[in-house]
Amino acid sequence: MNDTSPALHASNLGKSYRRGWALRDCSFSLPTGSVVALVGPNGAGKSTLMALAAGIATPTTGSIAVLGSVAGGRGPHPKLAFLSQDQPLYRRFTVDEILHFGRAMNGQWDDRYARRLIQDCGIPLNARISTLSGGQRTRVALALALGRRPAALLLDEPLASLDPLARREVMQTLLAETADTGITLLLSSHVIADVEDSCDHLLLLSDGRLRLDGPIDKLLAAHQLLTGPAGGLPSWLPTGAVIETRSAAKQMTILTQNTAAPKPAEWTAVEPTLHELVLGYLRSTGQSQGEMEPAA
Amino acid sequence: MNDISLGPSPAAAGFEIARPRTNVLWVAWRQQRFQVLTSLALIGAVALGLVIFRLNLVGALEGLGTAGCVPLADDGPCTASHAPDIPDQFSTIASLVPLVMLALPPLLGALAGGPLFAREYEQGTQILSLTQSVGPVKWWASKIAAAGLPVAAGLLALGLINEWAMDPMSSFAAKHLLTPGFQTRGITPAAYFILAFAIAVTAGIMLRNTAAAIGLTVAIYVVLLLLLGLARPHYAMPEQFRDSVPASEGQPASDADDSWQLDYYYVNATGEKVSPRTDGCQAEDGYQQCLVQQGIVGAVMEYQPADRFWRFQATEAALALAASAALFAAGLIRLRRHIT
Repeated sequence: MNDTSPALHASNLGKSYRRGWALRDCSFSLPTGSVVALVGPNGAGKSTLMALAAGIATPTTGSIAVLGSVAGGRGPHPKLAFLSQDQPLYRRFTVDEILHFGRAMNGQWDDRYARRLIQDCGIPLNARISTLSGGQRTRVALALALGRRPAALLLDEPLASLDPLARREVMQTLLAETADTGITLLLSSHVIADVEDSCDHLLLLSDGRLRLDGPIDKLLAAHQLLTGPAGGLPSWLPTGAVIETRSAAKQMTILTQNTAAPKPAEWTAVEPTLHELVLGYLRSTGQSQGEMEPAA
Repeated sequence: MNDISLGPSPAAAGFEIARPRTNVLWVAWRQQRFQVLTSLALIGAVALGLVIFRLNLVGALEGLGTAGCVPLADDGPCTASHAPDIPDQFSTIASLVPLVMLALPPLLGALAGGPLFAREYEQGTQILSLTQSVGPVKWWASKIAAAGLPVAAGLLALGLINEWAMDPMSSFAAKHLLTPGFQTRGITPAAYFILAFAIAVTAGIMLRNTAAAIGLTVAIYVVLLLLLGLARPHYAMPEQFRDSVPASEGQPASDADDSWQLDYYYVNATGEKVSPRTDGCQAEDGYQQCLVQQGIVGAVMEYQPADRFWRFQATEAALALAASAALFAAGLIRLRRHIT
């Protein structure tokens, strides 16, 4: 293992199932310690990417390396914890037994830390998993993942089944526990609002392909949202820079990459929000707006 | 194993070799304990019934003046002529026990093995277990050991207890090598359980559906047991008992009453098998004379002696275990290839 290795590094990564490609030509590098939003509509390939990184699926093409070691479809890197969609737990186990499970199934396990995480949210240790609320179950699953003291934590739609209050609480816990430990956090969501305040890095997937990859502040700074009079693409704009255009009755809005072209006075330019950037890219690739929710 | 040239300074997946110390067996036992303890309780109840049966039977035989006649012998004071004296209730029970002993191994095997992995896939929990530090082989083996070994041990004991409990009946009830005595006594019940368990475990991994796995298990188990039944006469070369025709008595008498008779045929002077015809026979000639007229000089009985019981038990168990091993291996290969 190499300390200077990126937390995750994908090269030409692809995965095809019988029904077709779930992920294609995916190359990116995530620096250690980053908090990464993996965003895309349902069916974009988020879960496939997670499964490949967690070593529970084998790539069809290319490879993905976790902390410098290639994941081989035989289970995860020992320093990587993974929480799959819906966080399945053994429903007949008590909370205490789930913690015992974490100790029994892992060589490295911080029992005191895992128990503190459970006690902090007031979940009784002798409660059966099946009697817990969705929010409590997610908390237990998180404690199970964090108790391994991972260097990288992959969470597949961790907030999908939670109500808005529980979303906020779980997110706060997650960020508080990962902020000072330098854990690399990869968080997938089809709801941008869940991740826009907390993440510093974006991976945007649609239709099995990587559309955007980079630090969020740099991505935002590299784009602009132009607003001006309606009537076709302005001729002063280099066409290669245009991502997406939308026309209303009297004005049109254009998402572009930053351009040096001088802009006429009737046009205004602002930096897009993450939400505008993501939706612009998704619309430009033919993904319907309804599939990607800007907020819960 | 991977194209490592694509990764940045990859350490050649070295983490997959060193697995840390873990206690997967605790997890497997925690998951399976209810099913295992229920199965053992059922086995214990049947075993207790068999012990009570044996003690009462021996008591009854003593009351009939056949004390020490266990097992009954062919000569002396304990001859088979005591057979009608065995009270009816013992004969009735002795005819019902094989039904229980035939049903228990596939029942317990299908119920232990069917859900073992299928329920994990149904609830998505295999991803939880296989994304901890434990490798898939250890997880698979631990679950199989926790769910299967205690029940297999219980059925091994029950088969031996049944052999002991039914021993006083052996002159009257099913003969050792014959169905259902052979399948319900000795080590066959445990071997059959392992076979049914292996079918169910692997069907659960393949189908990922508990009900379908249990249904398929029953079907495959029945077929495999029929195949074993077809193979069983060939576990050893049969003994031959020859008698001349005409014989002093009508039929050749084997020296072993409880042997397993496989075949009975007539031979001519050159030793070839002859199918006797009766259409040309005159009633006053007698059947023996009629056979002689057709060139028949002898009668042959082929049989497996009763003292081959344990040898046949070992062969049967070895075949069942070999089939189980192949099934287990197929399941493991599948489990490792498709985790999600």
